[in-house]
Amino acid sequence: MTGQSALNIFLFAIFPYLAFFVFVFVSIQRYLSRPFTYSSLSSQFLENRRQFWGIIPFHYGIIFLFFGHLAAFVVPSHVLAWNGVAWRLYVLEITALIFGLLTLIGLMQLIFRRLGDHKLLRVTTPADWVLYALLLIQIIAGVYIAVFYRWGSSWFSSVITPYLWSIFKLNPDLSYLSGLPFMVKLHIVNAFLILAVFPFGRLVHLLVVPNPYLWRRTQVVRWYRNPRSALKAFISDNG
Amino acid sequence: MATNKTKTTSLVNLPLFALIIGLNLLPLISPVSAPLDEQQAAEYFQKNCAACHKIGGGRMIGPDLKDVTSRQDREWLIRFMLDPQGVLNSGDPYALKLQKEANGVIMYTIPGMTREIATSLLDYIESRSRGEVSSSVTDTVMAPTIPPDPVAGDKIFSGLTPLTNSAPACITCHSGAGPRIGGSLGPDLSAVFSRLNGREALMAWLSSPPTPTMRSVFSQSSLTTDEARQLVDLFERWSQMKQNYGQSNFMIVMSVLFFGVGGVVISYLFMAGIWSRRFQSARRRLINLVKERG
Repeated sequence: MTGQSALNIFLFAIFPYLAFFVFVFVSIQRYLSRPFTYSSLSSQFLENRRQFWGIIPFHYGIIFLFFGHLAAFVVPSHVLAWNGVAWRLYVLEITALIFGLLTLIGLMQLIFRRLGDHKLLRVTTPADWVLYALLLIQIIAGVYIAVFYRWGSSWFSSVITPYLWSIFKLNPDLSYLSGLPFMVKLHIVNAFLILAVFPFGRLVHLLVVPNPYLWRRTQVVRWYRNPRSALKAFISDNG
Repeated sequence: MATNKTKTTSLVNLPLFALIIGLNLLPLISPVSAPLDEQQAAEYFQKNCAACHKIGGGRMIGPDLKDVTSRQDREWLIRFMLDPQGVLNSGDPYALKLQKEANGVIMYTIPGMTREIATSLLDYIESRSRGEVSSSVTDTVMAPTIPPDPVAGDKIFSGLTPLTNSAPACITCHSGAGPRIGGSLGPDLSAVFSRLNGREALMAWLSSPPTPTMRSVFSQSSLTTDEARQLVDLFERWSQMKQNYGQSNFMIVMSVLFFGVGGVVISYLFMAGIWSRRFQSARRRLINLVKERG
């Protein structure tokens, strides 16, 4: 083998395709056969206060990080150009770390919230726990890398991006990965693992985000309730 | 109905998908095992070994390979070329001696190295050992008349001057003795001038970096001779500096963590501020109504 172990070839050259194939095939199959399961099954009505402090930092954090990784993958030269000035590099890295920590704290809050409430435990499936575990590993590895292997935004663009493009071009080049630390490799493999389990659990809600909410016309919502109590509330609100 | 159709389509495409992937993985799992002729061996040596070794003319980072087959058993040399780290890990005294002589720098496994290639290389080294002293690739760029330019080297190191062939700046992965905080994926380069055995060895290293990560990046976008020379000027300047601006990695990690955690605290305060009234209006009243009714 050209300097690569069989395990490396499986994890970084074969598994990505398996994960992608499972992601595409099962996502389509599930949408066609069980379209009403395409949801994250909100538990907001069971418990809202603790959820807020988990779900808000988690989602803002992970959306920032997702698009940050995407930018380094799609326009690596622009990321490197931005990082060419020291203070811009520091700002980007610290911002990414802040969002990483927000994601981590938010996810831990959501996990403890479910563990600490019997109603929530009853609506949590094994697939949810698997996903929580994988996300936790992924985010811990990411934060560890951000702190101990500086400057990830730059070397991702130089080392990981060419590897990922080689996967997309169906010609995997593992030479980029051979010298990378364990945590970075764990982060990469775990990302493909998350892609593989994506269609089996609640993550499918990413594919059905109600984006039209952002540009649709406003809707009039009418409450169906006792008009007297509504009137009282209106009077008390408006003097 | 729709489900059956999807399954049928996927099953038809599966072998084709597997075939495409399999064909593309073939180069990965089928090593080049044919021996090299002298010309190929010379090119291979230049590309993979010359960054650290010469055949005659003294040591660079690694030892001079002239007459290496008379100093050590061929079988041992082949074993070492195939897996240097493995031989070192086995506690082999000769390998440990080589490591000590190279200031602790470990020889890297060359991707694609096979027994046949190693044998061809030893044949080539034996053949060259009988000839005249070899000229290093760097001899031509070591001209003493060119004035050193560590300032230009510093700009290259920190990314202020983009590299000609679009390679990432050194600061991406390395820290140094300058004031800017560098990356920590690769080693600190403050003392690289002495660690890699001086100017000539560093020039050779930079002309064809042998470490796995640098090799993959710089094989596509190598440094120009001027860029390499200016970087060596910078590294030499660092080796002569009395004041080292470089900070300890521990302090940098602590600073990064401080700003990260500080940012998180500010973010939470911000969230608490902008969403402090989130339970008010209709929602708050609905919740209270439910509470009142028990």
